[in-house]
Amino acid sequence: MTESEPKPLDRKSLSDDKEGTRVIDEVLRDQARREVLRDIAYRRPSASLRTRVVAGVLGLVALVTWTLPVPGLRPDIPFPLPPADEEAALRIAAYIQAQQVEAFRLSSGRLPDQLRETGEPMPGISYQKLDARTYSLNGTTERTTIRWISSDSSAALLGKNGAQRLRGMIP
Amino acid sequence: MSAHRRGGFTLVEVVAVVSILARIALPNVQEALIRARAAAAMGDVEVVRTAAANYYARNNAWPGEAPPGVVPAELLDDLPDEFSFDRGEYRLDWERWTLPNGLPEDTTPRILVGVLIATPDEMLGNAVAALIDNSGWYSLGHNSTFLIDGL
Repeated sequence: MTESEPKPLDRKSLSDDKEGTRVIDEVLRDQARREVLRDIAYRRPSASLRTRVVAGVLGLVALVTWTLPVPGLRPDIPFPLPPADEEAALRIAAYIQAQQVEAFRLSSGRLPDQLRETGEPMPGISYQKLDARTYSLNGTTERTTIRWISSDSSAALLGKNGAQRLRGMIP
Repeated sequence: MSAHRRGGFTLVEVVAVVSILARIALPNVQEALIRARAAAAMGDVEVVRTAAANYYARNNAWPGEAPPGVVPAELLDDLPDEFSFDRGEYRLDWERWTLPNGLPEDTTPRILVGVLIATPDEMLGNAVAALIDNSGWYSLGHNSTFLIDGL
């Protein structure tokens, strides 16, 4: 039995008012002590400052990675062709486009005012009618630009690399 | 027995760490999906190539030009049911070009036919270009064109 526990009831002194008051006080104090102990035992532990900081930083990092364009957190599939191949492709497209313009000229007797008159334009190729018989084609990609005027030879448009590739492409 | 918690992680910490790990893994998942889409586009080109070859074998002529995303009417019988040229992330475009002056060293008029994969998605375009070998195609920007034949 410990000191904090109430003393056993002394039946002989029950008639004594002082003794009765002491017992009631003792019981009430004991009850209060137990309530304090129970509170401590079941109290939810409050987060320490360190825990709050760590949670805050982690939350902030998570928010930033999801909302801002962080380098390295985007899929990266680079354009696989070297610049020389890209230029050859551009020249092939311009060559085919020039032939579409020529086919239109042969069938209608005039140059098209807009490239769309010849059909679906080749991607990356733009057209400019210079006069009734001459036009220019411009080819543009992110890394390469070409310009050709119809008074120049079509071989110059294709270039050596483009001609070689086009020959290799045709089954 | 004390009910105090010692060590461990709070729910906020766990959610944040899982979220960060998921964000780090996401680009790899996205890249794999894009490359899978590119492979599907290449498969579509092969389907069209086979259908066009069947059509040519029967008719001794190639199907006519069709707008991007539209199946050429002549190919409908040779393509699988419900085959679409408009796949959302990319569109197929049947190309039939007339070359009245032929090639620089051979001016015999020619017809070139091919299939173009057009996509506004730069990554998908690059993934397609990365998949194909070094002949029979050219790639411009996000678009890759596969030549099927040149008569």
